[in-house]
Amino acid sequence: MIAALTVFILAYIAIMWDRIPGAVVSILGAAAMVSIGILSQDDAVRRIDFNTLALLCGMMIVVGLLRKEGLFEYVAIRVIKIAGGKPWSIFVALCLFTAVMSALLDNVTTILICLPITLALADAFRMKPLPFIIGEIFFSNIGGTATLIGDPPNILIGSRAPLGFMDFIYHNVPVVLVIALCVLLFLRFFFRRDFGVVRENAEEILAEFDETRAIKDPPRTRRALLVFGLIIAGFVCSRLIHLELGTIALGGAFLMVLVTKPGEIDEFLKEVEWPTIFFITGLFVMVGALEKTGFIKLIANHLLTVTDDATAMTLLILWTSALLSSFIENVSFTATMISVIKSMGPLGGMDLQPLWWSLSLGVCLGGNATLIGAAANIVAASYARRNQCEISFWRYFAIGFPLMIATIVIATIYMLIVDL
Amino acid sequence: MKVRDVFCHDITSLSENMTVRMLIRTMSLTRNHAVPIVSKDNRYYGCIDVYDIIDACLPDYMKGLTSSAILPTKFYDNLRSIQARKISEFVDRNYPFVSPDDSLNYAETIFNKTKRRTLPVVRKDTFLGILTQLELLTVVLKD
Repeated sequence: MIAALTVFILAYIAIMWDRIPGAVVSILGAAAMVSIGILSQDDAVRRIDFNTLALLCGMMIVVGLLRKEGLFEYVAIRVIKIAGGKPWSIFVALCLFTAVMSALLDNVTTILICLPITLALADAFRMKPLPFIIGEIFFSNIGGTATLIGDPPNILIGSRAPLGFMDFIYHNVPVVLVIALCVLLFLRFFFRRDFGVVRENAEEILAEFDETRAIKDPPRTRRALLVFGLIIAGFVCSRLIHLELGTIALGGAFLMVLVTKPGEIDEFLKEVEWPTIFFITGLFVMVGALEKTGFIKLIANHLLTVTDDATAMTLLILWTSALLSSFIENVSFTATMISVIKSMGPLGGMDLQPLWWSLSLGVCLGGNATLIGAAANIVAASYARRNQCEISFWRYFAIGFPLMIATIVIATIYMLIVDL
Repeated sequence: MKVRDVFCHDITSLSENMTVRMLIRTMSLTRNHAVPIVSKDNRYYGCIDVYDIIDACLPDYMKGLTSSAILPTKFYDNLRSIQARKISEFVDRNYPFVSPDDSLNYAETIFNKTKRRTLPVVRKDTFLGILTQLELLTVVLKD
């Protein structure tokens, strides 16, 4: 157990240190677990959740393809035109667009799609981009909380809990809507001066944005969109059709390639973020090794000695997850916590459902507290810096941390009403 | 055939202290997309391609947009804002070049690998002229 724990802690420190890519650390950690005999080769392979990997790969291909078709730019421009030329209405439109996108795609991709459009708009309207960027960071994390496919921690929870696509919709969407409304009001108040100035020639500026130029080949885009609709329908009916989400996503992705550009399969495979896939693969093996040594059971036992009350445990997981996710890498934390929660069932005879939701809400919303709380935040800050919009850690913290606390308070009330 | 048999002995070049405005004017007059830059002691310093200036003016977020549906309004503002700056800030010191003794095959490879369309011809830090890819192709077809 000591050897496994040493490898795990060293890997965790290296991941948090952030100088060596997480995928390298994770795979080397997994290899170490096998090399020192904690897990056999076969056991290591068995610990890898291929459903999660297939879901991630499939969605990455789908998103890459739809992005190249220009669909997201098309929708973004349409949404902005509907909103009109007032800064506040543009802000609301972009935040809601980000949230919806984030619910369907992963957060980093959402940020990479939304920020270029936002910065171009800010330039055109001569608005300060900072409120928009911060709003989009929050809404990418909030939107991602809503669905099973919106955020990697939810993918992990959904796959290993196991919870279905619709379970997340039923449980998380109501609280996400309340949180989104509160965050919008908070940001409206916080950035009230930035939303006050309205450009006179707003209509002319908006007319310069031509959404019809975004779609390169409309019939091909329609085919891709049809397959995307089938994938989402497949997710919704996954239990009914007895298919895992990974199968639906990967099958759908290749069907989309077939109906759009089958000759360019190599290009689409480049859309897969292999470092993320390897990072998660290594995590599965490392956490599996900890499980095998009995360490995870030990942690679960300790937690049960702190409290065996279901309400207290749910709130403990919600708040601990939120606070820790503000500072540490949330995918590895989630992978570890999933094993801990799974061990609690047989040990304490507890209903695990509320614990899964508290973990989901905690890790996803906790990411809003700091600039390093989620991968999307880091990507957005670096993107903003490259475009002459500096967001310092403390400036973000001053808005993000109180906002995260407020969202977790809302989540606590929601959990107390709905789950406990 | 060697580069020396083909290249244009036009030695239009600019000093590193000239401004971006003069660079663009020179490019427009010579109808060349790249202008070699020489230092005060007349030694070859580097080269500037018009794309280096465009890159400096294009907002970084443009790379993230996949279509021409969203236009960068800041581009012309940025160009105007850098027009009085010295070209030494934008010169590419590692811009590829060829020597008069290099083969045409080598020059073509450099064109294709670097995606440049104009190469300075340089011998021992002395700028001798330029070779364009179009010139090279014309000569090859003449043969």
